[in-house]
Amino acid sequence: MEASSAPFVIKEEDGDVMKDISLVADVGVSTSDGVAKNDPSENIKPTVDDADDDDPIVASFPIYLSSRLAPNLHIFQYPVRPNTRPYTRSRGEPVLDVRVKPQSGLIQVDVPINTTQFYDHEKGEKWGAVDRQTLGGVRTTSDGYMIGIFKNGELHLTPVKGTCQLRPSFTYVDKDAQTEKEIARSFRQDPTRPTEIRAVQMTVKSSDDSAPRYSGALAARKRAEDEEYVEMHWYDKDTEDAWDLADHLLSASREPLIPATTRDEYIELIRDKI
Amino acid sequence: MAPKRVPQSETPAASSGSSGPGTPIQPSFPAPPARLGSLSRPRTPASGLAQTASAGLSRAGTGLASGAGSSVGAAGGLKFKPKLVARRPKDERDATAPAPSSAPSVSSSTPQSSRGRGRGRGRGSTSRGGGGSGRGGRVEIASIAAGPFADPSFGDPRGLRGPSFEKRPPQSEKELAGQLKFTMSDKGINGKGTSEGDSDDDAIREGVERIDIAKVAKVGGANGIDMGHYFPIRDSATKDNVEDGVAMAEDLVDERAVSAREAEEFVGVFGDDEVDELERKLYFFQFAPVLPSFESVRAGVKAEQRVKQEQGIKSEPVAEADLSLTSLKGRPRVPSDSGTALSSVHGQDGLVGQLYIRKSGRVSIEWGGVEMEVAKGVDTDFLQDVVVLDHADERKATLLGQIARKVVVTPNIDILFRESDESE
Repeated sequence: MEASSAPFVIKEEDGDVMKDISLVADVGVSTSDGVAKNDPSENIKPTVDDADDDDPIVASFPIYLSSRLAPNLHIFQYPVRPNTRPYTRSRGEPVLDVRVKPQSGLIQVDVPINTTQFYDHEKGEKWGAVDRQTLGGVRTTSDGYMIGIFKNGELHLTPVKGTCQLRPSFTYVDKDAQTEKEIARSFRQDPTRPTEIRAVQMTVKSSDDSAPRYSGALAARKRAEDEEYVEMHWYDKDTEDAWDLADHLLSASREPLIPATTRDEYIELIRDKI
Repeated sequence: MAPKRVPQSETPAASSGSSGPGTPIQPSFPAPPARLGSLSRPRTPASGLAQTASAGLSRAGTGLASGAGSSVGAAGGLKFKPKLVARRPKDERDATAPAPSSAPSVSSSTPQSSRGRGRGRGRGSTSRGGGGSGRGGRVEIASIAAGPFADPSFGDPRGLRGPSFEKRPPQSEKELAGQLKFTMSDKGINGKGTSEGDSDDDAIREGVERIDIAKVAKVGGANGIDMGHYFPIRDSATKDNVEDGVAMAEDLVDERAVSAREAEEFVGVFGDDEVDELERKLYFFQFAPVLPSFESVRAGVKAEQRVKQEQGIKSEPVAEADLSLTSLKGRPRVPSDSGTALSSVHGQDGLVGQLYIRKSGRVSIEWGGVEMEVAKGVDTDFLQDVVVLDHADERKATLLGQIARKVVVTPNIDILFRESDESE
């Protein structure tokens, strides 16, 4: 195997090079640029011995895995919102409401709108959107993501259950269109029942095996629409609940876990993965 | 019969009403109205380029979309009229003027080119200036909240302080890299983190004076110097990559901070100046989906607060880490072993590895015996929150905080293979 050059040296100024690190660590790129003093290939030894290199270890933190919050930990991404303007009470823009469909993973978040500036009241009345907008998204799960916090010189990692991107949802426009349709329809027939807006309408025919059934994405969509939202109470990050819960990010145990994978096994694992 | 409607504005010398429908109306276009909100002196068709001599600042607070105005030239065609900017009041100019003397007086020798270049840059930047300069001066006082994780709203504490620069005359382009600095008022430019799209409503609401640094760069132009040309860039590698003043400001901050803390801090990866800063932030770690697994811990293990250093994975003493007993409130709770297994280590609590910081700033993680490289991930400008959703029992959604930084961890393949080769 070819001798590798220096391992990745992480520097802010080499940000251009460091941006993309693929899983197959392409260590051929040396970014040391004369700043790191370590000699390239000599000191890539088992880590524990690196302390007496040219590049000594100056700090180390034990890493603890924590699972207490893991089944419930989510990342909410708001692609349309700058990170300097979070939805928090401290900024006067707290999240007002949260609705979740547990099985489908649909999430809706209500956030306030500033109606004093840059707000079209006429349209607001037309669409009935009072002072809030709804952001919606789907929660997906993924492996390997963790949230880490440092405490007392320790790093505690908690796996993330899923991420969700919340974007403005235009259900009020759908409602508006639906209402117009209903008004038009009501002229022709008696209104039967208030219909909600659904993308997939399924009519029940005689139940035999030949009944047409949706499959794939449509079926998922129908399942999602059939499911009810679970209303949840939102706790802002400056509340006591948030503080308490944040403590749960710390590991429950300081016991060392015994590794169950040898290096060779691990190589096999990742090789199969690729 | 009414004359045909002229689509353009009515001309002063309106076609006489008596002309019949068959007579073509020849409208002559009046002079276009003065540019909205322009601070420039009133333009007359004959002014031309001569009036662009002033290289002073324009108040970017109006978020001008710059660009050439046009006016009807003598020949009836459009004539290029670059944007006229007003000079700042004298006191401001003096405050930021370079120290007199050795500044080479490139005054009028190349007025066109330097002006054009600076203008181009200025124009390029002010096209984003409405948004980009909005980041100047907005001090987020309320955002330093008392939550469990203080608002890392800028993702980089350096940005909060804002750059403070002094101005010195340019000597040579190389030397400038470290020397050219600017003084700015307290409402300086935020280094990082603020997106361009800072909404105008915030700025308007706070009545902030926005200073576009590209304009500031031209202040040296009392001598006609286009300071933008000498403006130092992040590092030698990307010196050419000057987009606009805002980016320049960012990189000045980076460079200064980086050089200041060459070694012992978490340079780059965690981006913090001091270890204390680490503890108030949430970090997003991206590991490989497949990780070395650990043997399951018996359920029912109570949370203990001793630290075992001898046993376990590592043989290296955890020297530098401050491993005093944690001051956790005693929560002797049974760790929840949930049924869903996301990764091979889900449902387990305990010590799994070590994070090492080296003198050069290199960060590595040793996880279950496998060494991994740690690198800074690509940070985003949009909001990312960490939320705990509990829809089973209590139906609570709790916001823990924002993600401060993203960190990517990959197995160090070289070490992995080298060691496995050696062991054969």
